[in-house]
Amino acid sequence: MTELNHSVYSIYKWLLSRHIKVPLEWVQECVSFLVSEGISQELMCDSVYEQWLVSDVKTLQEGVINFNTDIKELKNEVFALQMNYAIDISKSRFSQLRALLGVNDGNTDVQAFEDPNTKWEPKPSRCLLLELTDGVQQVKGIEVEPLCELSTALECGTKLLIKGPIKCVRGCLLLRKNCISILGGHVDELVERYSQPSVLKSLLDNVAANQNRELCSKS
Amino acid sequence: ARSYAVQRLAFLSSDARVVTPLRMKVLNVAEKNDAAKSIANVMSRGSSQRREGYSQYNKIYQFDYMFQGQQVTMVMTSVSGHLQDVEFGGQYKSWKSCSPLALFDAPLVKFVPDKFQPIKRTLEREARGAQKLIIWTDCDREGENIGFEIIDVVTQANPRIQVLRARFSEITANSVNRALSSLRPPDHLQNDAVEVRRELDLRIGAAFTRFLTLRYQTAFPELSDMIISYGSCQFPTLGFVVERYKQIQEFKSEPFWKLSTTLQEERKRVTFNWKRVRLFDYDAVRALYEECIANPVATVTDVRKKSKSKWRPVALDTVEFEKHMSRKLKISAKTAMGIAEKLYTAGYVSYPRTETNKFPHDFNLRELVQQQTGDAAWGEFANRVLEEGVTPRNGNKSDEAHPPIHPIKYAPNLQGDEKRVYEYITRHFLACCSKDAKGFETTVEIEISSEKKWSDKDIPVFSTGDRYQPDSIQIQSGETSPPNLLTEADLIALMEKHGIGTDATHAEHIEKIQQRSYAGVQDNKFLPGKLGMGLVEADLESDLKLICEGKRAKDDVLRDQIRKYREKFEISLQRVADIDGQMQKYLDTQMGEPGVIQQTGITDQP
Ligand SMILES: [Mg+2]
Repeated sequence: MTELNHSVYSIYKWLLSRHIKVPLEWVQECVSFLVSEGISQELMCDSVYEQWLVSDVKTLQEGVINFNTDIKELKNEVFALQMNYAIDISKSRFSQLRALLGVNDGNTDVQAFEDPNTKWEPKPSRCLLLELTDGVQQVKGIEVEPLCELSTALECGTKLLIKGPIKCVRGCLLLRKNCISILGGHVDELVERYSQPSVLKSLLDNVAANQNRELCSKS
Repeated sequence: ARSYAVQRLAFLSSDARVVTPLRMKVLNVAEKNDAAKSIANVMSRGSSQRREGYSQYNKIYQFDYMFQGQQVTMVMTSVSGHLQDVEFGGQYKSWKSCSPLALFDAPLVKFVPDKFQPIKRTLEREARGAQKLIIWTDCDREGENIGFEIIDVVTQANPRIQVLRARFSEITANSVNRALSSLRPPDHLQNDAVEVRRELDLRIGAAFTRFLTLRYQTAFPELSDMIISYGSCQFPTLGFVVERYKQIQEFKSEPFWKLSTTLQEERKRVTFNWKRVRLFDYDAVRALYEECIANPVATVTDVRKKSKSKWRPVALDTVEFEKHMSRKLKISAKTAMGIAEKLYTAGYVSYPRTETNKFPHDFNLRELVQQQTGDAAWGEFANRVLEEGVTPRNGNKSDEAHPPIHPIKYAPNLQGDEKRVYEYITRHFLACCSKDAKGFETTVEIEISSEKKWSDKDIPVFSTGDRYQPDSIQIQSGETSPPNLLTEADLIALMEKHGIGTDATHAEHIEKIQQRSYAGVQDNKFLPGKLGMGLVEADLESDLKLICEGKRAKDDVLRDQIRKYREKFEISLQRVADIDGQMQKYLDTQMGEPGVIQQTGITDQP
């Protein structure tokens, strides 16, 4: 084994010890690139890690887990995922989009008489949905308890560490306290593609398309 | 000895000219006579002398006062709302015979209408010999504008007078004293904003009126009565109608899902609602649902009991009165005000134009309730109110001029709408004076599968820690729906929120946008007409706010807005065929309520 190869493998193992699974060839390429950039051996691990933080895991094609089961309790598993985007599913996309675009709908709240049906209804609190991926599969992360480390302002492509015990129900990870930590990073391309307005808009367009389809199939 | 003589003169004389200039004279002007009277009463502790001015409705109240460290003679009088009007000047004075487009830049003049000339003369007379002028008009945009009209008249009679503005929230000794110790120059920015709005309303209203007159006076002579009028405030009002209509047009409906569960307790089935209310992602709801199903045990986590009073209504002011008339009796605000005024003139109810929703302490409510005890429908209730004690539920607004709307004498012989309006005022008054109905509200929270909570409001006995097997756990689906079209009551609420017009004029502005066929009414909901849609694009309100904040200059905004409206107007002119169609439909339905203006479809010219 050459010295370079030895170093690549040890970095690969080091990443694995931090629950980050990537192809060995990717580490190889990454190290070659960093060497050509003049990065020293002492800084190599950290530099590779930083490269991973800003890479799109989709391009790494290294799946970690099968999420498509009925109900599964992931007991001791620890694994890293990439967040493509986060949206709040407690409010309609339409209202969020209007608020983001600065449309003032304040006057819609002005009612001459209060609606007795909604008067005692609790005020819904935020519930984030994170589109998560391990590079092969996608899974929805649902904020079932308030998690202050999450927000819609998290950069697209942020890497997260998920720690069991955590429940996975039909393609949804139920996110609770102590099961998630933010590693950081972002993916430039995703930041562009998944800005809040464009995510909300495309989800809204999907709704409209579905409604149209239903209408067509009915008639 | 000399000061004694002066005092005696001032006290005995009813003519201000006798007061020698040795003693400072301060002229105070309020927005209404009742306000002047109340302020003078507070400042003089009841010792002011009343004398006459040229206007029989606007008295003069005079008293000695320690002002800024010296004894001064205070003279307090009033106007009756706006003192000046704006009209086209020069050759455009008779604008009813020029091209509508010319009205966008024709010169304007301000003048005091004939009916206010006596007030003007009083102000001019009292301004002479006064060193200071204090403006006591209401502390809102409209009030600031009225203040500047007073300043205009007063400084023309006495250019050296120093102008000050009193800012107060209510007419109490505290508030008035605070205002006097913090007098400031008047706020010309707020005044600018109102002037911009008044000018635009005049120009656009006149241009449109003129256009309709030209086009329809011969074709539809029956229209001429309805459209030869213009005023202010109709554009912001129309703006609300159009804004809501557009919100509905742009609205996109979305599906949502929610969980609900039922428990059986004491032979009563109780439905619990999801604390999250709803989520907009089916997968997420299904995941949470399956988690519940996997471990379907409900644990009661919280039982809250709250004594909850069914509040009696707050004393009635004009705005509330109009809203209730429109919603509960389906009588338009304008018609309702007309009826209330008739009842007032006949001595059955108090003055219906009031901003006050609290009764003064010394008001004899008992006697007023007593008068109603003989009525077959509500006499018994009135008797109970007397037994349990007359305790009005007061709000916190007062114009210091008129009490809340209430019945003054028993009126068993009224008919039709007059009877209905009187009955509403009386029932509201009696309810306002009664005791709150006491009750309890219980909220129970349960958890299923350790994370989701439901709650319900009106249920049998549950205690914290109880565990149940739910009867059912379900996913329910629904869909968001667009906001409703505005009702007249909503429109009044919006005008109030944005401080447009006064309580006394809401109804007229709303009527006007209908008359001009900017908007139509369908099932008591407002729909904008095509013309209204075209005319409202320009966003005036936000510009007016910028003026008030000193961020945009008045002339800038005016130029901009006039240009925008002119363009809209020109487009409207090009679409006359549509307008003809609308007008015909409007006329077709004129026999009953003002007609619905169709949104689509171009009808051939009649
Ligand atoms: Mg006012």
